[in-house]
Amino acid sequence: MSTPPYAVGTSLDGAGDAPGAWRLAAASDLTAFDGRPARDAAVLAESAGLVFATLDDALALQPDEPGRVRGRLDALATACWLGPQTSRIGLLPTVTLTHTEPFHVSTATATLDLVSEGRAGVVVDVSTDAASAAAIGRRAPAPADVVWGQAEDVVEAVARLWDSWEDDAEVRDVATSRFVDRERLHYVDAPVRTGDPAPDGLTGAFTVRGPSIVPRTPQGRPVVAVRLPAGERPGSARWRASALRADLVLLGGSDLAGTQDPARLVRAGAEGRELRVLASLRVVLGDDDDHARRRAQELDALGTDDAPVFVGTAEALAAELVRTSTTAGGWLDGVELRPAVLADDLPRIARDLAPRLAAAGLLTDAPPGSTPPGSTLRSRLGLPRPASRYARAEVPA
Amino acid sequence: MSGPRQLHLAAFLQGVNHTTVWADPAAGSQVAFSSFEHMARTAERGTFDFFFLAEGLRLREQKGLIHDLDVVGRPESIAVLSALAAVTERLGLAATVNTTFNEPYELARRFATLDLLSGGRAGWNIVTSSDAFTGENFRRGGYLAHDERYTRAAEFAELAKELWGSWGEGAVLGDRASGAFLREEAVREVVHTGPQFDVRARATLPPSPQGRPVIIQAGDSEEGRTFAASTADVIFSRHSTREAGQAFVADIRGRAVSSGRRGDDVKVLPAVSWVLGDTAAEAAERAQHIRFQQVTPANAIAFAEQVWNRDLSDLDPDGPLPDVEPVEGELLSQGRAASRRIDRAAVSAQWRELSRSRGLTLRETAAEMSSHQSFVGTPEAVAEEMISFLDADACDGFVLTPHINPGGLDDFVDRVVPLLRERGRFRSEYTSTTLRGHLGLDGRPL
Repeated sequence: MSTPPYAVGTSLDGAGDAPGAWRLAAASDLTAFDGRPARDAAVLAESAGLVFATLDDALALQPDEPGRVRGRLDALATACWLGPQTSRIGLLPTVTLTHTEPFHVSTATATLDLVSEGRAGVVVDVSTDAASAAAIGRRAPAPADVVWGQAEDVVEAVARLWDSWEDDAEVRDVATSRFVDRERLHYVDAPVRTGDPAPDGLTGAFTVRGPSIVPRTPQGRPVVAVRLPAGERPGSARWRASALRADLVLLGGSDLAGTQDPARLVRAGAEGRELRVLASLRVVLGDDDDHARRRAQELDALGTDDAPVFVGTAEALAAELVRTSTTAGGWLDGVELRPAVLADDLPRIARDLAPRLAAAGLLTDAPPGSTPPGSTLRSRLGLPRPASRYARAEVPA
Repeated sequence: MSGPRQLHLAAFLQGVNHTTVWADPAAGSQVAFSSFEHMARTAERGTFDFFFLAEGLRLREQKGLIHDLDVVGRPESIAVLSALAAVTERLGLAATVNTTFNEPYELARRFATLDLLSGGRAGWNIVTSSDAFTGENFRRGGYLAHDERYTRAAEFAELAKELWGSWGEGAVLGDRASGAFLREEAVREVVHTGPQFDVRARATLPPSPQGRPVIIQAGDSEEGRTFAASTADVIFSRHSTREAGQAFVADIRGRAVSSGRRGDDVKVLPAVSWVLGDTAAEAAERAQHIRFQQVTPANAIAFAEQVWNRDLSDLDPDGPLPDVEPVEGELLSQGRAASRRIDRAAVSAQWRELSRSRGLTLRETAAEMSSHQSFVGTPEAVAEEMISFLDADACDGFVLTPHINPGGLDDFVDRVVPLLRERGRFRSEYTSTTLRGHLGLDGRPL
């Protein structure tokens, strides 16, 4: 198998990935909740030739911790809003599967694929927190292994719904008055574990009947991504969901070197299925090492968390990315760069990092804008467009 | 405001129906974003109040098979409207969403997002269902008793409004120096315990420039009307004739007043269709042509089956009506609200009377019975008639349902809207940035 194209993406959340980013004078103003900071970042990332952009989300309001941004727009709706305002970059909102109906997840993500003309992905996530469970009020919070097990069922149900209309189901046959060929529409009867007994007495599993209301979309199936944090136990439900269901695995890690073993294990766990393994890393860039360190210290003073951070120059980051890329015999198919400060680090990525990656052959949209119109997120990741699982095999003549 | 009363106009894209003619050469994609963009931009060019989408949660079936004669397949509404918010500036954007197969916190958050991304242009058409057939796509199945639909809808809407208003004025500080992003005490925790919902939540978003999404309702039963008159900002009505409209408007205004509101706090907009021609005769001829495009021979049989609730596939569409009686019992047609509440004896008698008195075939009868065309005539005649409905208090405006997607609104915007403007009955430009403002609704509810 040839080496897949390297995929560089960015996160768009808030004012940047560092918890204190919003407090810097240069940071975007988040108080209007009008989507503009994410839009400006997505447009910049696209113009720099990046392949995808992620939008974080969770159902519940962020907890009250000093110095943190609280409140946010629904990521999937925001991604849809970004669709017509961009033309090449893939859009991957986080969608939590624990409380939402699989049918709604399927139709809304399929719609993202329609409005972005084939650039949709979804970072699937779960809720284990009490606040999300209480906000929905349908079930008690459940531990990660339970909700990730359920998430695996939901991903399967959602994918079956994406496939439930064969590509050529809409026939518009005037002679017979038929708009659709119902032989090419399929019930999916997908079982989904509910996870645990719910307050209203519903237990066990339920079934999603199908077909979807949304015809098959440009990509056939939007790209499914799962975040695999550093230290996630191989064999856990989340790990299984990554290995068995994801097109894109986003590996956390203390640094890029730390992703080597998890990458190897999750690839092995995929049992030959095609998937892309990327690192996810916060970056604080500077004109030189000293400058980057000063910036990192300044951000730390405004709020810290335990996310892995790269601190250094674009030149050093480019060298690291090249060294760890599958293109150069490494183990990573790409990277999600999480700019510590969107207004500062994303322009540095565009100005200082992207040309270096392009020179090393790691930026497929080089020069920026050269990606052919109509390229899908799948095609830019080197992933095939899957046939519907329900499509009848061609009968040999 | 002085001067004559102004119309409110909306455009409705139903997505699944027999009235959308898909076989016409002008018919485009039902799902491509470009189709939605075309219609929304046309509505905005016509300074419409809002663009409005129906909901789909299960493909309809007839005789146990997926119904294949009509347009079907559509995007999810809130997602596609969020995209339309990026390509329109003033147009209101409304989605029909069911309260039975959603949870208030989640849906309120999605609508709040649409409302903020659009700068205060979102609307929610609240619908209810207790349909076990649709429920097969959802975890709760068909769990809701029919008479609990509005109990749930009312509790749902109340909870959504509480969530939308739970961030008080000045809740967002964004104080970079101190690190206080929210003023904690200004974000109220919503605690709700009721027959349908048991929720404890903090919303993740502040009110939009219009406060909260505009509430639309279309219920027509006794409970539906009471719910709408007490809750809705807009009523999407099916009473599209002058007399029925007048009676409906009077009834709704009375109910609104009884629930402590002003009569004109609720705008009544019936769904209407139109056919234009350069002369009255040409319009009538086009209308006839469209009816037969809408009611193909196969569709004529399907309609008769929905009324008679029995297999009539042996009938000749160009022959007489069925000579058998309708049957009650398990429904032949699934996924249509209208099939459940139909009075089969009365409707089949109407069909027979029409066929007998005018000598119509089955297909001709079906075309007459199933395709009500509200306004047929020259642009001048249609404009005058619409104004006369308004002056007769038969409505506050109209929800226009084009029969061609995506170009079906073009002729109305190009030929009728200018006349309504000339006569001082419709805005020439937007005077407000929010849907609530377009509708002339007072205040910014929080």
